[in-house]
Amino acid sequence: MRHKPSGTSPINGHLLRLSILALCGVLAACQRPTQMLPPAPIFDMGAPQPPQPERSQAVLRPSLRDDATTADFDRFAQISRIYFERNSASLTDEARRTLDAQAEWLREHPDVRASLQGHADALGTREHQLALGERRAAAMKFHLAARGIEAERLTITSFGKQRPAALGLDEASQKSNRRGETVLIGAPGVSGH
Amino acid sequence: MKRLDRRSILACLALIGTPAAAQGPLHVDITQGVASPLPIAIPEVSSGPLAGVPDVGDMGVALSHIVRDDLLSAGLYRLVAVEGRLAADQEVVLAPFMRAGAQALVIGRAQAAEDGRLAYECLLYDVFGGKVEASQRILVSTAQWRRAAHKCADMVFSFTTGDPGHFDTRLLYVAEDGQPPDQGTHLVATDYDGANATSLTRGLQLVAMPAFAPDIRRIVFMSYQDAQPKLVVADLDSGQATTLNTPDGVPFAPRFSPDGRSVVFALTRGGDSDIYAIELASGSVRQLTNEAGADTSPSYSPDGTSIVFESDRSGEQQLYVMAANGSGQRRISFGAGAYGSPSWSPRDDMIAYTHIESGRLRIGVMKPDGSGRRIITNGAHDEDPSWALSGRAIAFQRTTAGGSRPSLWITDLTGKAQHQVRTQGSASDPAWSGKRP
Repeated sequence: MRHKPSGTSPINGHLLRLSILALCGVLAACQRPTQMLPPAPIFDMGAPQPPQPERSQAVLRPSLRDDATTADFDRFAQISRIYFERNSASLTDEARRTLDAQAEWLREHPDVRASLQGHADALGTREHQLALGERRAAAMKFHLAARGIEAERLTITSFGKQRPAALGLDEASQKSNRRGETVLIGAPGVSGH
Repeated sequence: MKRLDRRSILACLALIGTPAAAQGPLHVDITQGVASPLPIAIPEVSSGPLAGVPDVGDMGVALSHIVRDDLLSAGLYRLVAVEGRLAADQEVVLAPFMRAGAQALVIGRAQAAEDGRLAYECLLYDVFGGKVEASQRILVSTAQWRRAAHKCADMVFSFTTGDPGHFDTRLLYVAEDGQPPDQGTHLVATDYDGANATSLTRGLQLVAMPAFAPDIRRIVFMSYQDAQPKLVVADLDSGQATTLNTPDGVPFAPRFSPDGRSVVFALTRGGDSDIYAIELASGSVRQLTNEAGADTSPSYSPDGTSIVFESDRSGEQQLYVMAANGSGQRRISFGAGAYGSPSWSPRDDMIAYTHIESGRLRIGVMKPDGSGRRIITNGAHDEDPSWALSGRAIAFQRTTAGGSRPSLWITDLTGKAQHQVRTQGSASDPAWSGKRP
């Protein structure tokens, strides 16, 4: 009992009941049956949500220009993702060029917002890579803001190593995981995303 | 039967009288993590099939196999094989077991009990002393028949080591759906040996970093909704899920405090990650660290007074310990490589961590003052350690080179007794529960 992690302070009736049950576990003479557990509930993390188009083809509100599509964005900025060095959130020259092009496009489409999403490789701890991904997204936001994109149009988030682009532990696979993605999320004031 | 009952109650009282450990012949000394295994016989005791539990065959035999699997997985016992199968009503004769070299003998007798339940009488004999050292009459619903064996193994483990057994426990893990880059995840809860797996979440969203509350009824995890991560506390009994109101930023790495009243977590914003605690009843949030760099992965000491965490404030990830209010931060990990994902043992004598060196991740343990460091796993990519409530085993995630999906493993503290937990599909980021009610 000396390593029992909880139950020493009865914070509510339930805990107290638990400790009594635990005591019964020790006192075989109690002969209390094991509690019949109801089936575990399912937490539907996806619902309720409006039906959404595939993220890669997000339908945007009619823009100032009618080419405000992810495809157009990708064409213009060459690519919607940038890559980082290992365990680094510094923008490479190539990443800066890509972000400059993204900034230009975003300036042309002032009603489009973007989610800047940092990812990391599998070669660090889960928690460290989560923090690293956010650091990368923050670096992207800083660069875009310096190129005149309003900060409120840019949200940052991190997936760490939890949504890899490639699974292999080889360097080529992991290189592709050290990335920052710019995901267009429509215009301000528009619900649905 | 009547004599047997009285004897089991007496033995049970004896067990209560000396709760800590057997100092006699059945004591397993594991002070240094290295034990000479206790020779133990766990014969099959036939009971016939049990109504309401199809596909199991002879219930008594099935239970004895689970007791064996449980105890052998701990790395502290050596199974002594003895020919033949006992009948449930057969008198136990110790001589054959003594001749085979068994010091301990576990006899489990299964029978149907009232209300369609299963009664399992579990007895631990000191073979040379010729007496019953511990016994329990375990009652479970037939649906949870496997728990009878786990509880029996817990009794044996607890008597022989002085630590609570970790066999009647649950694991949480993260299972992957789909293929990169559109990979989602869902949470699965399972018995510690992989049986009775149930999915707790669904949807193509991403969930991550689950942890049990000390009461096991509640869990906390990270959930991405529209790319924005939130911390969710879910009650497995009521099905109620509550999103924690955390400050702006990306919250992650949540863990309950040992009293279950608050959740400590990391929050990263604008490239800086710090550690916070939120009191669940009031919702009040307190910032515990304020250094530049990534402070992440907090884990409470079992008495709740200290927190170990990971920080790269020195340039590389290292482990730090601080008081629960954030004061007195000091680095405890030194030596080659980087250290992360710390987890404080329920026994309070060790901290498990992920060690990173030359692109390789392995599980290690050290004392809370940083001394006695040692690496206990040897995979290409072993991470996310989570303690058993006994403090004698660690669950972790293993990924082999070559792009395979991650799987769950359990190791003892020597690293000699390691086995894979059977899961359906991939499994990562395990969280091991405390004692089940």
